Amino acid sequence: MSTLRTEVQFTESKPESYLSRVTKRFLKHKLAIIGLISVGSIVIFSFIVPLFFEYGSTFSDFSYLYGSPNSQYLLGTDSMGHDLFTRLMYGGRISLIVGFSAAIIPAIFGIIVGAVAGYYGGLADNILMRITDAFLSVPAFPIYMALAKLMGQGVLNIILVFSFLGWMTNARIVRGMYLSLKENEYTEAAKAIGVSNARIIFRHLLPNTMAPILVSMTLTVGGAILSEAGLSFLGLGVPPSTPTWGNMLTNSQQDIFLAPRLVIWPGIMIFLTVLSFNFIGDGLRDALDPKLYR
Amino acid sequence: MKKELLLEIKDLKTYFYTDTGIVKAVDGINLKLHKSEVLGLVGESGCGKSVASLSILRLVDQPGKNAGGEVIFKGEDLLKKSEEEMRKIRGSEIAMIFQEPMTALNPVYTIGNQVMEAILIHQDVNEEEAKKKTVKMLELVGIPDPEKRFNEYPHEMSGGMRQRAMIAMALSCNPDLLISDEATTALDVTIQAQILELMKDLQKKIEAAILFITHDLALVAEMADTVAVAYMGKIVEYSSVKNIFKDPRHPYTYGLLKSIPSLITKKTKQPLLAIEGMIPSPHNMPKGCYFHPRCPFATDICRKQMPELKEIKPGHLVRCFNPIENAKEVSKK
Amino acid sequence: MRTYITRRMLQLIPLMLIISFFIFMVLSLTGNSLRSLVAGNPRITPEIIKKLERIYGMDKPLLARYFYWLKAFVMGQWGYSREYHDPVIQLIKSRLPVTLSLMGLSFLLSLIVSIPVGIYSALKQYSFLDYVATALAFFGMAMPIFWFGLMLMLLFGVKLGWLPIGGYSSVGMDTANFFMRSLDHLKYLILPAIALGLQGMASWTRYTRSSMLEVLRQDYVRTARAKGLPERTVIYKHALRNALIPVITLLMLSIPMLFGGAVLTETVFSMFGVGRLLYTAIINSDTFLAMGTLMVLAILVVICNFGADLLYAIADPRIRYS
Repeated sequence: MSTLRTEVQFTESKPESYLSRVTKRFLKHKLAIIGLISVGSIVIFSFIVPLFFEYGSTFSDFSYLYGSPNSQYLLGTDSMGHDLFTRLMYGGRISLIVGFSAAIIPAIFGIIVGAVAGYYGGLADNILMRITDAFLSVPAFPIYMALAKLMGQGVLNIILVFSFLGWMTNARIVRGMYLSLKENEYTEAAKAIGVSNARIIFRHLLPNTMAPILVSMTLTVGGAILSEAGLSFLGLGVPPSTPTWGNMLTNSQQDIFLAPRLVIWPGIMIFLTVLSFNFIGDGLRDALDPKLYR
Repeated sequence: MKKELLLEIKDLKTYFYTDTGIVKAVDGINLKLHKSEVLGLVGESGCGKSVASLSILRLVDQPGKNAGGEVIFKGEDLLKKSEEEMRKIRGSEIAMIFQEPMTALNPVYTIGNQVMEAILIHQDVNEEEAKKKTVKMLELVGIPDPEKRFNEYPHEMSGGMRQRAMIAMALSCNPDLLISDEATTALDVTIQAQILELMKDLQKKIEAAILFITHDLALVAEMADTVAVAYMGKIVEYSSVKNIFKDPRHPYTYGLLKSIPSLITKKTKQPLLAIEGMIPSPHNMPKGCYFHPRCPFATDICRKQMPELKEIKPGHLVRCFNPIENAKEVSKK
Repeated sequence: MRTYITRRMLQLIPLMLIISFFIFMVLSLTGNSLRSLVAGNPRITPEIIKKLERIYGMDKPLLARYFYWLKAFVMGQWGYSREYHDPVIQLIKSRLPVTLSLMGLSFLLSLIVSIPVGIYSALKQYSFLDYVATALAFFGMAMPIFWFGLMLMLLFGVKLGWLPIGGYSSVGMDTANFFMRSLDHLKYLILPAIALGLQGMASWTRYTRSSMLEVLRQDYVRTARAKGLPERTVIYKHALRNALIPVITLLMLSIPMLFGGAVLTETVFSMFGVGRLLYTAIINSDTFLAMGTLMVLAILVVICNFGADLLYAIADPRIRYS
């Protein structure tokens, strides 16, 4: 009897792995789960549902301009006779692609800049951080406009433009973490046994910075979708022939009087998508850093 | 001649209601403190001693909550007082010094401003008198050039000077009870000695009682009259300083003493010992006596039942089924 | 304090140079106005273009051209707008009041909403109103500014007819006195200011809340309580000032971002401000106008940076003396 007890007592709770604790906390975060489900639905809506629809993205019915919703056109048609529902689906593709790419590419660039600055310190750090600060002070949206005009319209150009001015936050996060990480014993140990700098930077230290980078990336997705919509609304984004949620709002100042639903639906899609990504980002942040916001 | 009782803590419980379960940080502590006496409360970090001290002033942050017991101060239960009554006691009758002089002072206000604040709140004085008194207090705690220091910010001062300012702040209203929560832990050894000296000095001058909380038994030997040893939210041994050092009865106390260089070990030429194992996770407390997984003397009953705090000789209380009978004998084994 | 300010002022110079060079580079790449101007005119041969370029100094290296341009800019020679045929500096001067009043009003609106709500949310964490504030903050942060503006326009302008749907002043107000004119402008500014201020309201509320929560956990707040200070003093003297220090920076650095929003808001509400001016300049490759506008913006950025530093120093003694 007593031996049994001892055994029970000594199965002390093994410290759970960091990842499983984070996952558990994330799954408990109701908003984050809602966000995750919602993003999943939007992905399915934009990428899979169109496969089962008869109209392509360029379909238009010239005999039914500004048409009201009916059984053929679920949400009606726009000034060009495009089916609004179909355009919403195809528009989602571009918005999501822009959002994801504009989060991933600048993150990679920011990680490199931040890692070099933080790891080497000194002059390299000084110069890189001055440049980072200057880039942070550049008012992003007007520069987006100028660059978009310079490079011409197109999905790829939009992504590049966003990447150009989107890396600074990530660089700062990574630099800050590297500054403290490089003092760690395991970094010293790695150096002592002759591991190369590049290997220390990318294999040993990088995984430690992934958590805050992931949070910042998730929040960037929403920001990029909003910026794309803004640029496209001004006619500086993706070419009008390709439907995006922003493009669908280009004529909104006329449409809002003729058929408000043409303005309302794309906006709701943008809003919901950005909201969902922000929910996920919030949940990730809480899960990774529970002592904050609690 | 029996001294007047100042503070009596009866079965005080403070629990933290977290997402992952209830953490019993303070789990039924009993303490007595007489007027102008120094009581040392000793334990490893995480044993609940800081929470206990905050519980006296009712300053435990969320999600911590009082879960029972009494804190009788000058004959009245502090736990039954209104927030407003409590506020009047804080800083005037019971004052507190915290561990980190770096973070315990507000970085955006001058030292003088922060010391003066307590005086203005609790005493019927105008700004000018309060300022005079502040300068006097700063001088009393050994801060050179107090007039000038009055207008300095915490970041302009050294750790030792900041802690002196904290002491000035705490003593500015002549409290009857001073709670010192690891007040010297963050300081250099030489500064630590100076601050201890200062506290002892001032304690005699203003006749305040001190609840001296530390993880360092050596400091207790220097400061305290009585000692309470805490482990996982419970008092495990309670006696006079002399008894604790000469005749420790609880295996935990014994272990703590053995892990200090030069107190017992030097005389008897024994090796320095550390207490084996780690303090258990507060979410997964062992059954029975909380100390048994680390205790070399544990028997079956220790694994089943929590022992009571019993008086084994006058003025010496121990929470153990198998108290050590003769510390010197044991150490020879 | 004085050395700190001087040092920060000196640091603004390279910042200004980097930003202005950046703008110059981007725009001189966009609008080689000469070539685009004469493109398609068969009578202008490549030789003539070369000659013209030499006359205008456009064959010189980029850096040399930048300094030449910078010198002219400092002297107030900002060039002429190709579209409006007016001096750039004049155009900007006449449009600036619209944009500044729009940005000022929305900044003020965001400020008086976000700071008190953020503080309240932190003090009453997990209360009903905290949840409402959090929900509204999420709402605001996910909302496209221009679309929200359109929706406000649809609801209050079109459906309810309470406020004008666009423009900046009513017909016949030119002769009215200053007070009446301002009141008239205000009517036109309300909806755009709300649209433009929404993001600030939302994100500053969140920021103030978390900053306040962070500060409330600090040791010095506990010290203040242990001193027996009334809760009011603990919060408004000890916690608030520390909590607002990081918020100051955020506020100041948001102003340039407001400008980006102003471009969209002015477009939606058909207000002819500097944002709209910049938009038309970029669309039409009106290089001098775009440069002038962006430079005004850059100056605004630098001023805000300096303002943030200054406020920071006033609020935080640690900065002041270092």
